[in-house]
Amino acid sequence: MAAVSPSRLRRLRGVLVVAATLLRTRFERTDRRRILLSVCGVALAVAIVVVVAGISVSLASQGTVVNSNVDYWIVPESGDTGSLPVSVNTPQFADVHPVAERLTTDDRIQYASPVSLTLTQLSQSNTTEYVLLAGVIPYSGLEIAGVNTSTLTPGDPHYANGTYEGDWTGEAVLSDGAATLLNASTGTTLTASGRNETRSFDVTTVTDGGDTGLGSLPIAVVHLSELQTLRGTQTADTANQFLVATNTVGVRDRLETVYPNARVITRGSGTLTGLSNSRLALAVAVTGLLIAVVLGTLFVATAMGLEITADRRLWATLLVLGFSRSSRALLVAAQTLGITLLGGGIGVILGRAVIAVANTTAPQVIPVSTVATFRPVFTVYALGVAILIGLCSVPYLLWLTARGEPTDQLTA
Amino acid sequence: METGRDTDTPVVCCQEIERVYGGAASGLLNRFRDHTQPTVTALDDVSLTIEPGEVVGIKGPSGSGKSTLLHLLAALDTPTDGHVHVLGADTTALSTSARTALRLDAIGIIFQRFHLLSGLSARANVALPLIEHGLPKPDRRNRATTLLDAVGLTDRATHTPAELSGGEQQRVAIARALVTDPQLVIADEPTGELDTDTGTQVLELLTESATDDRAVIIASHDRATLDATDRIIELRDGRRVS
Repeated sequence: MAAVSPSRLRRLRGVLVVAATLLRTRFERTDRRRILLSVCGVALAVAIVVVVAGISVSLASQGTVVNSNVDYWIVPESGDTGSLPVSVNTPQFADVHPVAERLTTDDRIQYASPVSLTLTQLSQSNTTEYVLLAGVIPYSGLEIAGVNTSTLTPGDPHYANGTYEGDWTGEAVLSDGAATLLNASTGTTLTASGRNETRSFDVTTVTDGGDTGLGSLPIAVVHLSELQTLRGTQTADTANQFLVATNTVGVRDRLETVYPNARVITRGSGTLTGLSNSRLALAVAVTGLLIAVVLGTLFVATAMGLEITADRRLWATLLVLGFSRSSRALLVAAQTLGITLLGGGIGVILGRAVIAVANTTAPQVIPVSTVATFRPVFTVYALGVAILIGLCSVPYLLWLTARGEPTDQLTA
Repeated sequence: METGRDTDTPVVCCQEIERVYGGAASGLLNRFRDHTQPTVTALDDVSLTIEPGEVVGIKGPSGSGKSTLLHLLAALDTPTDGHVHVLGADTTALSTSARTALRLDAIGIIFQRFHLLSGLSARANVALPLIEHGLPKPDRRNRATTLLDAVGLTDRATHTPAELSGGEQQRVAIARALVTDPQLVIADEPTGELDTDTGTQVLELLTESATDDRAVIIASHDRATLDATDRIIELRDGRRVS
């Protein structure tokens, strides 16, 4: 690649300075409606992108039974990651206790817990309801659908090296949704009816349902081996999925070898990787992006087009002074991108405000706890969209600057 | 900002130039619509030669072809027929970008209405063509300051056009036209918007700017302006009459 000459670089810098000065002048003059319209148009478009991305992430997060402190989610390849209730009937992993034990011996892994999910009838006194029963190997920090498992006895005592003859803790943590449904509180004894037997569980804690995007989910979390015993699945030692917490990115390869037909999904906070696991969320995000780019481009092209048409003499003067086509194009592009970036910045703030307002007001109207989620990475994404809007507008604006005879403008 | 100039070559040499507007439709849409515009002959069989050091006036009533001739000499337009040579370069044979480069290097243009960039200071306006030359900022600044000194605007360098009088703005425009040290300076009605005293000062600046290797062309209706030139070319109905 040929090196850029110092003279060319100085010209580039000089043109950018002139562009910045002209842009500043546009905001200072009395008639600045067009320029403000451009900024507002981009801000609106970018705000749409941020809100839609927030909704997409929220949608994508609905399928998880995990919280942001879990980094990987291992599911069977044909399993459905779309929503939590559906995942109850997904294919199962076998021999999950030994696998979890092997995984936790890896220094890079903080914990690895299988999760078994089943809809189970729980009753207390005269109340009988179906709730989602989740069986896990509790670790400090592990949350299932926002329900903290730290009050359960650590490990899985009843498993007892595969004998299923260890101590039966009978402990259960309820989400507030489940507690309300069953009219239960801490200390209440619940009776669970399984395939082969009926067992009792004592409620150790009732916690907030957590931020799952599904509202107040009725869920009870118990030890995995006790759920397996209730369901009669001890022999196969099955679970629907694994949750893995780690501080090391490189552990993914290790997780992918655990089961031959499994998918490892990243659920790390601050990433959008999870989006790709939900077609609906991805479709929403892509649609939002397209709408925003089209809307923003139309705004900028129209308003900046009027601005450039009004500045015909300026472009004619630069042409007469000997400014090359590339320098004039750079002047247009730099001003346009300056405007779209400013609009993008305002759009991020606007989008974030809309998400905050929606999350505050929506639960009062519809049964959800979170409509959309804002992530810091959205700022970079939104500014990228703003630049894209600018780049899409530039060709039309360049065509406008080249239209007409410069001599007509300067002698009029 | 050429060096080692050839003072033997005429600055401008036009041979039997003709400029006709209208006629066959141009542009894709117009071609589909089959529009044909009436033709107007703005210049017809005009020849002239301007040597370095000359100050030449172009006079004629409105519609006589003065502006068309200036546009051809400034390489802003090309003739329908004939040839325009500016510093030996045949502008009809040059591409649009080559003509733009020719203007940057060798032609300074002054307009009746100044056409300064409103957001820039007087100094920045003067230095504008030097940006395209890729000169370092200190050099641009020094050269613009020198030119502003020469036109008597040392203390107005940081003022924007809105803060300057009409005469001051025209002097800034002259400084901008001279900043690249062009061999051809073209002024279209340079005193048209100025009062008599200011017009006289501006005219002095222009005529003094003609040097051994630089020609100045001034188009004007004004008798006093034309009297300040070395010779006058008169146009009438697109033809040269003197």
